[in-house]
Amino acid sequence: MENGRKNQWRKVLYENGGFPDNYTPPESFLAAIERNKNLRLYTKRECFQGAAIVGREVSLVITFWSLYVYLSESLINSEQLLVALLLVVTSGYLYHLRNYTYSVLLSGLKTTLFFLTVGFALSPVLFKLTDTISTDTIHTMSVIGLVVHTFTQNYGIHGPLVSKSISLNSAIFSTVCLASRFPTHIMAFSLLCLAVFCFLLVPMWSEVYVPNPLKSLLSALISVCLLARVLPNYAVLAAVFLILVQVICPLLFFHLQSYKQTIHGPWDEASLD
Amino acid sequence: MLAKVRQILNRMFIGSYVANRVDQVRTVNTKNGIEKQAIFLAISLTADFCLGTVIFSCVQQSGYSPQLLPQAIVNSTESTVENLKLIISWLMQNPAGLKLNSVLSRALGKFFLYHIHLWVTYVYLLIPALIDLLQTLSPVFHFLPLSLQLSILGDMLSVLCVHVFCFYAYARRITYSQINGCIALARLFAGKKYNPLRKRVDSADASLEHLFVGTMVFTILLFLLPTSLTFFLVFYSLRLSAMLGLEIIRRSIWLIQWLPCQS
Repeated sequence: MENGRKNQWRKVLYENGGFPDNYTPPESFLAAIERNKNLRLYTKRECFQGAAIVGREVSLVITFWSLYVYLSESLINSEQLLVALLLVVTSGYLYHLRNYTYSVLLSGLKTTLFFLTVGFALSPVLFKLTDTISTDTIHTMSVIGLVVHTFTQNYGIHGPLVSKSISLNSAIFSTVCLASRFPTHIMAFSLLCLAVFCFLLVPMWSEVYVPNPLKSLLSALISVCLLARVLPNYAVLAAVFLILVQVICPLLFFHLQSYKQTIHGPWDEASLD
Repeated sequence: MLAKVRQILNRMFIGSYVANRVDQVRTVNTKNGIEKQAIFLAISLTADFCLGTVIFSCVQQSGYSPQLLPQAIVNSTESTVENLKLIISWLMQNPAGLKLNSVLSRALGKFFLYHIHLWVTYVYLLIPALIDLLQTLSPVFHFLPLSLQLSILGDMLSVLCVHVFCFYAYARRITYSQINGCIALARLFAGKKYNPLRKRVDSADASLEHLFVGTMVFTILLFLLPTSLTFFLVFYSLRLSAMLGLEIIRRSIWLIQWLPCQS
């Protein structure tokens, strides 16, 4: 103490202020608290757009499953499916011809031809692969594969669970499981083409386009209608789930943002930002 | 050169018997305590011959004579072949309720059955020559030492069991390469690959074609694995039982030929 005045404690360790080295004034530690620092609030539009990506993927999986059920119950012909896929893919290519260069489209065409050849060569093996395994086991395995695909798909946010290879591979795995339920190998081949379209071409296309909530709601409606023709109970469940994911969850998220309360302070781990 | 000849001879029972005795005689000649060694060797050889004669007469008394030997060989070959064919046909249908892939089990079964057919053709060409040889040698059997009789028996057994070992080798190769393929492609499934330089698993940047073909082949190999694993296990157990019988004979021959002060 000097000049009859109490020394002010300063957070400077190289000056001896008469205080012990580990002294902190009791009010300075907790008073340095900061609430809701770096808070990012999402607008309603962003919430719905984020949910639209997830909803689009889920409706794609539901469409794939309903088309498999159609094929296995012979509601549609495998040739019809192949022709429809060909038409959609060709129209998509022609539509994109104006946006992309010629070489990109040519390489895409080469990749598609490669997949088609490999798929056609392997489909006689595939359709006899799980002949002796019961249908329930096969359906369970493919459902698990599609669930894993949905969980590990890239929805625009980086996370530890996101892995492009695992999602693609589990989707192909479920396709191969399902392909063995067919009596002829041309039907297995058409299912394989459908899987290539749904899980390889559509994500490539959707990476380009900003997700539109209305369009994803439309695709959800289409998939539920497709499912309702063969499995009405599951269609109701699917509709409920899709509405939950695309409408209720973003609204809930948007509403609950106001309850966010984070605390930062000098006790946090130092980060090298 | 001699080591190679020795190696080849050791594969057969008769060859290993001869090589062992030659070794023992040679050790007697070059060792210091020559009297003890020579005495032990002489005792062992005499005991061998006596036991051979005695046991052979006992066996002959109870009805098995060397004239019956060729017929016994033919009968046992046929019964082994028939049992193997039964086992393979049983594997080709659903064995023990296991859900094997029908196409692969039928293909593997046909392959093994054709191998048996080839082997049986070959043996039926060889049997007359073998029978002649045995007929000329049959009076000598009475006076052979016991270990030589046992080694002849062991050689005949191993000739009978040779295709069991063959089938085990085939099934092992198929299953082993399938398992390796499955493990490598399972790593690709998770987006990783094996780095042989650093001997660790790294993340893999695989293109779409790699992922697609890799997953399809992985699924195919995975579902075909139970079938080849079943074949492998069946032939492995057969091989184990054959090896057990041969090992018993080998150990008894070794016991008879044992000298107390081995170098």
